[in-house]
Amino acid sequence: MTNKKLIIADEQPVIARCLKGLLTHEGYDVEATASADRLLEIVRGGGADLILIDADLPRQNGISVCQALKANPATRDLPIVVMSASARAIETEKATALGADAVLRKPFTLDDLKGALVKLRAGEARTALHA
Amino acid sequence: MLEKAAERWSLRLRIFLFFALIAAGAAAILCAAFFLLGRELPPSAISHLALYGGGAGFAIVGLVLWVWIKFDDHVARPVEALARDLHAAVHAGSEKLPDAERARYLGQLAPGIVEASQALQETRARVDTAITNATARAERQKKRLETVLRDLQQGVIICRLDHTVLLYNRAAQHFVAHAAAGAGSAPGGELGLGRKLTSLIARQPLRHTLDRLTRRFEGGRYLAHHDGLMAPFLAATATGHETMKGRMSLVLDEDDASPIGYVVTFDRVTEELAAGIWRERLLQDVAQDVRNHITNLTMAGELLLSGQPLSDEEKEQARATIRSEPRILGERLDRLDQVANDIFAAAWPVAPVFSATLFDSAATRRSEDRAIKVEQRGTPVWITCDSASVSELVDRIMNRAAVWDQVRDFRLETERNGERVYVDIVWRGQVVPESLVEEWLREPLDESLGAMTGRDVLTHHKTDLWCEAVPESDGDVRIRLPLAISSDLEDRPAKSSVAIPERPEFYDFDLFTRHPPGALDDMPLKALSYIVFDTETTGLEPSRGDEMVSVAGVRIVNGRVLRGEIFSTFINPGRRIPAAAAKIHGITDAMVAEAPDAATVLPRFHDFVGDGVLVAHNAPFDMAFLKKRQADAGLVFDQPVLDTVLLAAHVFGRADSLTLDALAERFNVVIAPEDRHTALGDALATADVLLKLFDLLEPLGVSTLGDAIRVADRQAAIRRKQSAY
Repeated sequence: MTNKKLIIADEQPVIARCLKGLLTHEGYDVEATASADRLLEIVRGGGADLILIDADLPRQNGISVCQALKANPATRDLPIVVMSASARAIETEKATALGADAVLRKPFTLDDLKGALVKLRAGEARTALHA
Repeated sequence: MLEKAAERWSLRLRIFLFFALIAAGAAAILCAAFFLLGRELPPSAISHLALYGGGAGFAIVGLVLWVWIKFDDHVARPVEALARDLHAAVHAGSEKLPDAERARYLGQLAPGIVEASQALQETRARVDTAITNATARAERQKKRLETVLRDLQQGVIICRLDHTVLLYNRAAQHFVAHAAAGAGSAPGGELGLGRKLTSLIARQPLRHTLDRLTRRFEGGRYLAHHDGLMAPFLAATATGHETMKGRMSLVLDEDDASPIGYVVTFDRVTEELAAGIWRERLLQDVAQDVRNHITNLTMAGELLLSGQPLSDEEKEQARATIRSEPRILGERLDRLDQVANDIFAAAWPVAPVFSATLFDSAATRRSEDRAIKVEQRGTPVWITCDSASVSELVDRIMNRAAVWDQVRDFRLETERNGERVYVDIVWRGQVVPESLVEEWLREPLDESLGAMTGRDVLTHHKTDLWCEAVPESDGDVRIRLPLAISSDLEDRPAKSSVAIPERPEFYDFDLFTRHPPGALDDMPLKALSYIVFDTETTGLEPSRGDEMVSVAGVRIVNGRVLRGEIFSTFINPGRRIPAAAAKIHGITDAMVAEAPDAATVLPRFHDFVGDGVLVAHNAPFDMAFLKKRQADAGLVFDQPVLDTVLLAAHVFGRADSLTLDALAERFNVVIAPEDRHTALGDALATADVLLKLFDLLEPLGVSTLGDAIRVADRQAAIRRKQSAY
């Protein structure tokens, strides 16, 4: 079984680097980037099974990327986890409304992240049904 | 003596006496002449002489009588009539002009008087019209001012220098009532005309501020002072439950020579202050806490990285710390974020607005003059927001969407979701990309809102908006804007439960000039404050277990019944109400089941009475019930007491009926049938009767409280004697 390809997009290099290390250790095939453009490029190349994206990316924010991916039939089934540094509940609601499959509020622990990923896998079948 | 009596004689009588004197004098002279002549003439001529003399005498008297009749008719009577008419015209304002025809023999006198009367009437009419107009104008302006003052959101209280309240408005009354309710005492009625403000608001700040202002005035420093005769102050209510941020201004007399009182305007800042203090504490706590948790994290990290040999337990502890600390830090940061949001939102005026109103204003705004059609759907709800900026934002979004998606027809809808409501702008078309929505939100809105952008409006409202497809629809999309529902709207009537009548007696500037109180007994009756009250009971015998089921009172200050300052409550008597009693007052066991008991009600009523005079119709009866329960409540009703039955007995005598109904009828005091035999209805009627009695007592020499108590005591003594027989 090949490893799941997970793309991390976060402007903070420390978070991106650490998450890459940790998730690789968890058995994912991880690529980290700091830009939405690069992320979209990888997705278009078919190089992603799962996306972990920060809501506050420069130029094009994470929620907007999420909406764009979910609007495209080719990518709408790609599970997306949005990470947000905002404490406001409205941010979670908005991200969910625009297609995020899970929202993680910073700071979170590895356990939180693993929990979200497990839930996503369980929900994959449901997402497929929606499509 | 005669001269004095003559002064009181009428003109006609005097003229008559004058002619009578002429006639009598002429007769006397004639008699004397004939008497002297008779002595010179032979006796045979005497009989002729007497005949001619008598004839001449009668002729002269007849002539005088005839002249008098003519004179009376043509001069004396018309002069008296003219004088009467003139008197009536001058003093009683009669409009009847003097009859010039009757006085035609008086030359120019009658026409002159008629002209003078006409001129007087015309002048009087002009003055009357001017006064009526001026009064109406003043009354209109007064009403407007009353309305403004009454509905002002700020509390306003005007007091004399001795802190006696002369004016208060609705906001001030609510503030005090709210404070009292918070302290568990009587809601409402505490703030009243003629009461001391110092009994409601902490004495020290009031006195201190007044003292400062008085000294500033006396030293003349106010002329150059930045704040003039005003000083801000912060004070708590006497109960300590509410805090107010106020300003005090001195009121000077007409000559600006000395202060006669002060105006206090204030805002309730209890929540603001509490929130401020809470935020301050929270910020301190959180900052301190965050430092501790970061230290924990650092130490755990340092320990793992130190390279020294660690036991498995130590390693696991350090890992657990690293895993748990971020969660705690996250919680602390959430609280900080909440404080930041609150501070931001507090500076922003939000108020409940009906969604239909909000939509109407967004739909009719037409800022960009596009042919957009707007339809409203959904159940209208009350939304807490700043309607100006939100409707501007909704209008802006519709205009942008109209251009981008080439649409004209929009629907504005509401959808309730818990404590929030979604305001949806719906149309048939495509989902607007989030990045474009963000662009729209970055544009400045209307100029009148300054350089504010849509994003600023959303931040102020602690919300956001986004575009999404409407689920289960035929190609509809919506921009969804979550806003807060006005959940406190249901609380609003409760807050304003203190009823203020449409035109309440909420001010009385005559109190400015009221004489300072001397000994209570020597005070003029109308200058005192009264609490006219009535009780309804389970029966007539307090000594045999009968109890109060209701007590109500109304205040009279400066000779006016203050219908805005009433006390009225049911009392749980702790026993059954006999059917016979319930038949009279209509109060049943069920109605008093939830009511407080006498021990709870009496302290509130005692506060309401204050240092006023207690008045009741057949006061011994009501006082017996109050006194029966006063010990339970730990207080004494030792105020002076007046009884309208005894006062009426002094005025009308004991033969007349002195029931409340009989007195009310005599004085044209109307008691609605449904109010008769309710404590409040009877108290109000008794209050009106009392004021009418004061008017009748004064001519009888009863003008002070001492006089009134003396005559009442005398009547009571007479009654006791009568009943002894």
